[in-house]
Amino acid sequence: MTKIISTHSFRGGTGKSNVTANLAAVLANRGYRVGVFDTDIQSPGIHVIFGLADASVRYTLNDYLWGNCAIEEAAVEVYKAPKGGVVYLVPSSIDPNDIARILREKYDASDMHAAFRDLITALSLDYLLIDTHPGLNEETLLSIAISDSLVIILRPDQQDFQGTSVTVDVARRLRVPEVNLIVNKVPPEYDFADVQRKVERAYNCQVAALLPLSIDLAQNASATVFTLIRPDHPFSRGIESVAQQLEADVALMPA
Amino acid sequence: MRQPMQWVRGSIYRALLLAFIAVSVVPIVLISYLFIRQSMDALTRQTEENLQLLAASKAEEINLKLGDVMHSTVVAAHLAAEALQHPPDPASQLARYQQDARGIWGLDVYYHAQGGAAALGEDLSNVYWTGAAGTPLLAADDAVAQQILQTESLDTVFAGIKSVSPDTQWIYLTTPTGMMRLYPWASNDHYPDQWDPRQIVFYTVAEPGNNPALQPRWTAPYVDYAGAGWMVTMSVPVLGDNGDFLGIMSHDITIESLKQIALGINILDGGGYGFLIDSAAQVIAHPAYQEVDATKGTEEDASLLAVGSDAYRRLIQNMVHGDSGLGYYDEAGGGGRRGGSSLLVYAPIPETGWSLGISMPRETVIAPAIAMRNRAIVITVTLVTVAVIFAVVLSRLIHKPVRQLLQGVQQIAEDRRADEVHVGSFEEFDQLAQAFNEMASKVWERERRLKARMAEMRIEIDSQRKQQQIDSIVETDFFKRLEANARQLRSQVKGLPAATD
Repeated sequence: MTKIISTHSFRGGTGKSNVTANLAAVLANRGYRVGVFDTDIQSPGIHVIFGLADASVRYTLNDYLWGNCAIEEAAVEVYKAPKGGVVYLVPSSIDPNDIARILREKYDASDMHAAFRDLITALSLDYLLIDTHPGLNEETLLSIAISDSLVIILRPDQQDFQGTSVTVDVARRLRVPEVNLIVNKVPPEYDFADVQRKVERAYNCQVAALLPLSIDLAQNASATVFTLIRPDHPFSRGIESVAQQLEADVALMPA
Repeated sequence: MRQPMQWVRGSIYRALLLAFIAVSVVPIVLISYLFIRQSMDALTRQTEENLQLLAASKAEEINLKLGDVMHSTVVAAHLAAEALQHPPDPASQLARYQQDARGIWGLDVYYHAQGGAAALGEDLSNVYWTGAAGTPLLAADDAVAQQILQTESLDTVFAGIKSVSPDTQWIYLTTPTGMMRLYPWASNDHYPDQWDPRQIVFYTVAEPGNNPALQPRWTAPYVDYAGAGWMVTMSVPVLGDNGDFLGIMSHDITIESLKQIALGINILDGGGYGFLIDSAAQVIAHPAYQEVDATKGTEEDASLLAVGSDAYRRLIQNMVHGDSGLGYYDEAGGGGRRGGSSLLVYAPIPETGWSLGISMPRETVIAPAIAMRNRAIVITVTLVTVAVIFAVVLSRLIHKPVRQLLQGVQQIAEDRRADEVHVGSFEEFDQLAQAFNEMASKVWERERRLKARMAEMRIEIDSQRKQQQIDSIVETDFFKRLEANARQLRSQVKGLPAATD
């Protein structure tokens, strides 16, 4: 049974794409077949983390939505784990004309859902990760609505706290079976246990991980999947713990 | 090897302490060791040289005395030759020479008749000649009577020699006829029956048959016939102008004063002793050899070549050869350079072929060196102690600021405020401490601010705004449709049969 996970943040800059890429790699390392959709059509970026060169991309999600290709043709194998796990990425186009066109013409939400379904079937995926656009527009709500698990990434600041409260409530209205919070970019001098306690109490929701604000991560500049080069780093251990919680979840039942 | 190195490298205090000790104690000990070794050698050599000088000077003293005796005897022999080649003084009275009860010709009868020692004293010579009993002297032997009268004049010569030579016991002339004139006075009663002076060593030693070169000769020491104890005699052939042998001039000296020169050697608190041997290694003077209870005229028979260890006998042999030198020996047979238990230094007495030795226990010889060594050890120990104390103090002076800084860092690590570090020593450490204090203060201040911020981290959610935002989403038809179809959509995406709420 495939588990669909949406990663979301109320605002941009939370490190959402980075967390998604690393989570996908960690799940693959655990032996799973993972598909990643970059549905952040307006500002795509996750392909950079997987080191996907523009030239090696033949089709994008945009092409699929416009009927130019089958979804599995847009999926690129970006990571093959030693244990047999694998990560496929369906990138969005970074061509400014493509971005302008998709924003102008919109697309049919059911096409996106068909893309998810087809890819799950075509590639026999264990996990489907959807890297969403920040904020709660219709496309994002559609992604959240079909997710088994919603992972909300926030920074410890007032704007994120406010926005996240909206997302959590909306997800509950949509009966998303599982909502996990990841507090990212926590200054290391903070008392992590205290932060976790406060966040869980405020949202009545479990915190899957607190990821430290790290100079090492900043230096990496989202140029590579950090957990693969620094598996012992506190950030990597945090991602590992998120993967563990997602894996342990038993609420996955046929809808 | 790695373990000690790790132990040293494990602590700056230990490393500094060891380094300071290495640069202070090691040179002190090394220099002291070399100094002590060289000084002990030098001091021991000095003592040995001093003993050799002492032996040489004592031997020289004895040699000079014997030389004086030899020279005076040669003079007496020369004067005796003069007397024997000229007519006697006309005033000489042959009648004074008479036979005593044993038939010995001499002055005993006359001497007693004149009142003996009380009247005549001892400042005159006596004559000993064994002529036939009852025979008038001149009739019995003209030549002897002539010699008796010719030699009367020698009394003044003999008296002159004895007055300047305190060791002179007897000085006497013996002619080949068996006549003997002896000064000062001694009764002929001392001589045993049938005693012939020409058979005695003082005569035989120098007579032409035994002494072809007709040189002055010393006898070996012997016990005096006239009861004067241990003697040695200088005998000089008396020769006429044409080289005729006229007799032997003999000069007895008591060797008591010579023995005292050797036996009186008392140095370095009496640790050693001096001794004297003749050219046959016979003991003349030695504290370990008592006076031999010899009958008159027998020579003492105690040869040092017959006793002691090999090393000792080798040294005695050197002495007999007339060498001077030194060597170590012990009674167990050991010996050699400083190996034995005693040192023997020796110097020759060329006049008689004797040798003077000084024996000194080894510990006495090296005692000054040992005393110096002990003083040097005390000084070294004192210096080492001072150096170690200095090393400990210096190491602590350097280590203390490091420890204080470490403590401060630990306090910071344990989230406590670091104590101010005050360093009284070393300008650099003082600057470091000041920098540390400043840093610690800043760290503490930042921590304090952070904690304050942490305490302030509140999650404040504007419920009204939140509700407005939620409403703006959920009130739309889109959302309502989505909400209604969410599960179905999920199932569709997964390719599962449609589910309903």
